[in-house]
Amino acid sequence: MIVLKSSDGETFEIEEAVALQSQTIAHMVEDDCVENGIPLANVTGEILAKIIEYCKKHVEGGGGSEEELKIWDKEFIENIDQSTLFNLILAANYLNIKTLLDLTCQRVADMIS
Amino acid sequence: MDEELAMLRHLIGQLQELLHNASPPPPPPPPSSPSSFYLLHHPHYQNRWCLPCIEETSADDCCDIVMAAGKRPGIFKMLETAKPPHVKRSRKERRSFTQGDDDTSGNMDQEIWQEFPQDLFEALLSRLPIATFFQFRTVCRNWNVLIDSDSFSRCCTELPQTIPWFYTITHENVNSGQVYDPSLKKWHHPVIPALPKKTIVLPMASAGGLVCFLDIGHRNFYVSNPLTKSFRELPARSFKVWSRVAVGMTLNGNSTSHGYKVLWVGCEGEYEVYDSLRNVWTKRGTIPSNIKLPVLLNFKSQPVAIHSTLYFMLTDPEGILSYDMVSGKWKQSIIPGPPHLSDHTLAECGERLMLVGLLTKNAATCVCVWELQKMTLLWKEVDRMPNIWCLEFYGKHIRMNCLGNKGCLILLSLRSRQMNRLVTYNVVTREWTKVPGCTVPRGRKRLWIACGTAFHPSPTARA
Repeated sequence: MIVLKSSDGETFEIEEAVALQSQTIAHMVEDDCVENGIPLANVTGEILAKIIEYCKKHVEGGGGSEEELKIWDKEFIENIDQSTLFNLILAANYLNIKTLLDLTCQRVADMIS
Repeated sequence: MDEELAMLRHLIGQLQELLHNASPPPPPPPPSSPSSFYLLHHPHYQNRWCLPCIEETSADDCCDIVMAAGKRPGIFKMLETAKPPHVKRSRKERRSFTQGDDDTSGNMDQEIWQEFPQDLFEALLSRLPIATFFQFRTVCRNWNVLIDSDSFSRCCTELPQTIPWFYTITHENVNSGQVYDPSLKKWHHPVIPALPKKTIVLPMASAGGLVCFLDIGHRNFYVSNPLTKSFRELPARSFKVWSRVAVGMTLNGNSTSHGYKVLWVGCEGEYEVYDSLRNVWTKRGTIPSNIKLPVLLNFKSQPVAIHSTLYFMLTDPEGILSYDMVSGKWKQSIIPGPPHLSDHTLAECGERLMLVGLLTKNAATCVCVWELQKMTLLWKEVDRMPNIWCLEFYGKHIRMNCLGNKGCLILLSLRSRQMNRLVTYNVVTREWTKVPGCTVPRGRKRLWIACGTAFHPSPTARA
């Protein structure tokens, strides 16, 4: 289990497989600096919760079919407000979660086009 | 048949005109403009965004109507509000964005998005539909800087390949291209200002978003990105060939930044390869004698490129001639063609070679699709046009032109004396879809496609 700490002091305990979807966290784990939990100074608790929700679903391909996962993604991304979307992009970029970054950026591209 | 004769007469006329006139040299590179807005009608700007110069709008091009209505897509607002590196914003500008916004598109809340980091812009822009790049009339300085940047180029190449577009020459309008966008089912009528005006220039091949043109007199090659008008006239070939040539084009890497190569081959077996990195023609030679000559290339069929190998269709003996751009080796494969076949062309889907053609038995004509079985080197039929559609051709003499040299989408132009059909076939989904007719400004008839090439639209490909 890995502990993540948001910028506003919230802590989240999650399974390693879930956390490793973030390349940034994966590198930290490799470099072995995760003993007291990982502080994420750029991510608030609210956004981190959303990210964890996404990562949990996407662990090992989501457990369902590809179609089901796409539908879940669509619902996930359509139900967030612009402010959350904005912060999600920045956090996905910082945490280096490619699939989430793709999803959020595509969403914004769709909104502005 | 009459239409073809008329076209042939027209083309001969043009060729005669060409021989009497010199073609104009390409325009010199422009000085950088002091203003922050680049307007549309600047035919001298080679590498700037030069959008379709449409004097009269056609019903197909509703992008003009959108722009005319004064709507400014959300992306411009975002770009303008982003913090560009060394530009100081005046107090006046700063005041104008905190005022209420009459933004009608996308409902993007400016207060949120104005803080969007510059470096993530590229991730957004690369995901915009290609047609967005194609439609904008005026752009701001930031936009141009972004489009030209290498990192944006990298972002675009990392995304999955888009559906190919088709650059075509229709039978009535041989002087300008008509571009079809299958994702939005729209025709665009771009003008590439740098192409010589007094001669007919035909699209022959494409790679990485660039289209290679050859003028009707078989003299000069030109390479251009139809979306950005990035343009290059290739140096003169080492030797002139007056017969028809087949032209193929490949990328050296996965984007135009690593360079590209253009090959032309004539029916006596002479060929040459252009290397864009050194800007020279090289590897001049003749197809080796172990390959049966004269090579009767099927000039109506476009060569297909898979990685760095070009595949040409042979008429006699039936089969495929391939050339590897890296090793410089030619290889001939004898592959018996399906019987009763006409107007056939090579196509490509996911690195598989396909064949599309008209199968005529008694009075019934049908469009069929075959895939090449690599192990046995035989064509295997994989699909046919739905019967209901084929019924329309019953008893009629049908001619077909087919563009399928890129991606898994094939554009078919079917015509007979009274009728004209444009259809796309998706090799992956096996869907046959009707294509809206192409009408040019001032044109009345729906046009059929005389020649063309599929290409992957890319806002960043540079000639």
